[in-house]
Parts: sequence; C-alpha cells; structure tokens
Amino acid sequence: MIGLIDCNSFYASCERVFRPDLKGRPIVVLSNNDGCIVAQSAEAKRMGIARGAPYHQNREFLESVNAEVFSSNYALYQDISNRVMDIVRRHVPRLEIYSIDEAFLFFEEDQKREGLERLAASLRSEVERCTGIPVSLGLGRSKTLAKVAERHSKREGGFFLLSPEKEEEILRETPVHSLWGIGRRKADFLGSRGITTALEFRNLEDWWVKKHLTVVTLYTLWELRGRSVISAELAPPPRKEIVSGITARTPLTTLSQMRQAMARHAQSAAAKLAGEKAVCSLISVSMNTNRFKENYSQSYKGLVLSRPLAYPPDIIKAAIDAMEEVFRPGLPYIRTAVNLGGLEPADGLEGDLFCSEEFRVSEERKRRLSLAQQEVVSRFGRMALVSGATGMKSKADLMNRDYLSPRYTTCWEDIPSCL
Amino acid sequence: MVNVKRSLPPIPLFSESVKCGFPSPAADYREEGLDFNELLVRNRSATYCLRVSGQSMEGKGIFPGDILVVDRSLTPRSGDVIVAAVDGNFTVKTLIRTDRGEVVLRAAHADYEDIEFRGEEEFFCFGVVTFCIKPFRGRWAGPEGAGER
Repeated sequence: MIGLIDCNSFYASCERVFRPDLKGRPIVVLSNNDGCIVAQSAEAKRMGIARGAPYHQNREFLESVNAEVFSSNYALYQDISNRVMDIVRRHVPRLEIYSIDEAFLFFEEDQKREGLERLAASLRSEVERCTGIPVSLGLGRSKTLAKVAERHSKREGGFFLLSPEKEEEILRETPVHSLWGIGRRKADFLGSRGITTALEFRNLEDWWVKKHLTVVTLYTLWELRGRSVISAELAPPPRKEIVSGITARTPLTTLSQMRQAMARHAQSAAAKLAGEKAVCSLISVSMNTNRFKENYSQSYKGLVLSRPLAYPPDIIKAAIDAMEEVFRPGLPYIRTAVNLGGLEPADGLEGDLFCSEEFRVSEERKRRLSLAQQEVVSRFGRMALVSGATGMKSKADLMNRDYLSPRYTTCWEDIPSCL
Repeated sequence: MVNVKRSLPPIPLFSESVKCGFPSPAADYREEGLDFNELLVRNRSATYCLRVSGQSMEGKGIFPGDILVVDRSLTPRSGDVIVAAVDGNFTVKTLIRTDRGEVVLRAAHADYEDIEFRGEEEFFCFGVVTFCIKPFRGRWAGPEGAGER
C-alpha cells in the first residue's frame, strides 16, 4: 500500500500554531509582495475566498469577515515542514517527500488493514501533538489512488484506506479533473468526450488514451487500475513548484558527481522559472536510493532563501549548499532532484522605491545577464552556456511584507512570548 | 546572497588534525564536545522555545526574560509546569488536576489567582516546560545580544 500524507491548509495552520487567538478564525496568506492570496484556512475557503485572488481587491471583504492576513513566512513553513517530515519518517522510514506539505509513504505489501489503521492513527495524532499541524492520510494501491484516498479522507475525519473493493464506488464520485496529473486541458478534453468521473476515465481503453492524450496519462490510467507505475521521475510537479530531476542508470556516490548533478538540475529549474517569469523563495534538494531495493533512503534538505531568487547562479549555489548538508557519501543515490517552491511572479520586485542604488544596478545587471544567457541558449542550444556556481553579495530585502509573522522557530529574536 | 542557516558544530574538546599518511588512531577517541541540544532537547521535532514576559511564576524561579524549553510530545501530568493557551495568549503555570476532574492552572506568585477549567476539553496545553534558561548578566550570547527585547 502507498500512503499520501497531506498537511491541512498548511501555511494557515503554521500561522495558527503560535497564535491560539486565531482558533476558528479565517486566515489568508499573501504572496511575497503581498500581491495575491496564496493560501487560506478552511474557514476562509468556506467563505469563498479564492487562491490567487488579488489582495487589494479583497481587502474590504477580508476585514469585514475578521480574517487575519499574513505575508508568507517561508522560514516558519519550512521549519514546521521539517518537523512534520521527521516525525513521519520515524513512523514510516520509507517516504518520499513530494512537496512542502505532502509526502508519499511506502508500506510493506503484506501489512494488514488493522496494522495500517493503527499506524495511521498514531502517526496523525503524533504529528498534531508535536507540531500543532492537522494532517490527513489516504492509502491506496498506487500513488494516484493514494491521492484519491487522501482527497476522500477529508470527509472521513482525516483518514481513508481505499481498498480494492471500494475503488469503483469512490472513483465514481471523484471528478476526473481532481485526479493527480490530469490538468485542466486534459480534463476539458475528456469532458468534451463525455468523461467526467475518474471511474469513466479508468474504464477507457489503453490505445484510446495513448492516441488522444499522453503516455503519462496512460500511466495515470494504469495507476487507477492498481498498478503502481509512477516513480518520482514521472510524478507531475506539485502545484506551485518547479521540479527538475533525473533518475540515473548508475548510482551517484561521490560529492563531486552530486555537485554536478545538482548544478544541472538547478540550471534547468532556473530556466523553467525564467520561462514562467517567476521567482522562488524555497529550494529543496532530494537524493533517493532505489525504492525497490533494500535499505531505501532519501536524503532531503529544504532551504528558505533570504529573498526570492531568479538568477541561475544564485539558485545553483543554494542547491549545492543544501545538497552538501545532507549528502551521505557512499549511498547509491539514483534519483536526484531540485525543487523550487514559493513561486511568485517576478514583476513587482523591480523598481522598488526603497532599494539601494547599488542593489538596483546589480539586479539590472543580473537581469541583462539572464536575458543574454537566454539569447545564447536559444541560438546555440540548452547547454551552450551554463553557469559556474558563483554567488554574488546582496543585502537588500526588496519585498513588501507588511503582514509578516515572527520567525517563531528559527530566530531567537522572534520566539513567541508567554505570560 | 543566500543565507543558509547552519547550526554551528560543537567545539571539540580534543581535536586531531591529520596532515598526511595514516590517520592517527587517537582520532577514534575524539570527544565531540558539549552540545546544549543534547542536554536540553529530547525530541527535536517537538521542542519549541518561548520567552517569558510575565511575573506569575517567579515563585518557581521563572522570571521575565527567561527562555523556556517546551516539549510538545510529553503528556502533561499534574504538577508539571506547562505552557497553556488561555484567552488567546500563551501562559506558563503549574498544572493541577483535582480529584473531581477539574483542571487548575496555578501561578507561583501571591498576586495571581488560580485559573480553573471544568474539564480537559475546555483548555489547551501547548506543551510541557522541560527547562528554563536564564541569563545572569542580563545579556544573551550572540551578535548584539540576540534575542534581547
């Protein structure tokens, strides 16, 4: 069985851990520049506050419903995430961190239902007790089914084990657009052919899916039938994250191999970031050994960036720094990846009134350099010009973060106070 | 550019530098040094630090400015010093469970009255206080007395 553990309304839940006065109140979290809403608590969702909505258009409404507004505090979220994942790993050593608030758990094939239920209950209560973050857990025969189960668990008090006998019933009530890996375009296409539920999709013929959609969609189909085929490599990137990674044929065991691999991933992730005209606030690296062999292990490190980055050398340096903190020489790592998270549109960071001239010049140079690099790359190919891993110095913090909560767990000056 | 926060490695009491050739056999016996995390933190992912701002626990030696080490994973027992959420604020008090199933938060200061709850569900315990760290020269270590208010 494969499990998916998901932190409920993660950013909003993190803000609530150290603010007991916010119990039951709607919470929204804004993007780095306080531009738009990137996360909401369950209360805020019920009031119809949408993700992605511009803050200034919703300001009055948020005030009228007594919502608490926060700027995104990635230092806090990453620290709480690390705590959650450490606790999960103690219960289920075979885990694959998928995003800041989700991880896949791999259970032994012969584990009995009662054993899984007991483990799930103690895992969920332990995470909530130690971190204050409520989590839900879904189990199924594949990652895609675990995702379906996790979605359904929200109606079952936070835990749902999707056994093969129940798959038909649950898939019937699961809309196809909510399936992992089925984006809006695929869902629209399927809808135009009269396929709206996950069950209707599961009953399609392989050749038809392959002909009209993609091979990855075919894997989704197989996963719904209980075949676990989606590796970390094939997994669709988490919402609001960029992933660049590869599974090597021969394991990477030395630090220098790993530095090169991470630099390559960071380079291509940075290129995707530029393509989306975005900046990132979180970077994480993961190195997995073969999941189907003995002693499976994942080394993982998430870093919070002191300010949003877009410049490839900065991203490469951060990725290498993160990797070096957790790299264990000699382990046969085959899957290596770099994730960029906390993505925001890059505009709004330029032309800030309060940044220093020195900083503005250096940013402008970086921007021009990036453009020049993109130009070279587009003319001569992707690997024609790649960055060496050099960092630049800069102190300025450009962002508007008017509603930033303290870094309760990572900064002595910010620890919570008690009477 | 990128501020990577790393915990400083503990200072070794006996360090061995190996220039060339075989490593010294003594390197195996290297003392790792005193690590305050080892002393103060039993369960890292459940441990939080809070700064005291009130006087209600002075009778137990807990003063404003002290830093409390709080373990959320421990089950609070009667007699434990705990951090609880009362009226939306964190407060440090001694937890007392009465025979009648009531929960009392008791200060260690004559000016503060007991806070009583009829049952466990009315009251939220953030965690059990395991240590209290106090500065005796009024300054915390670190750059510019980090953490001073």
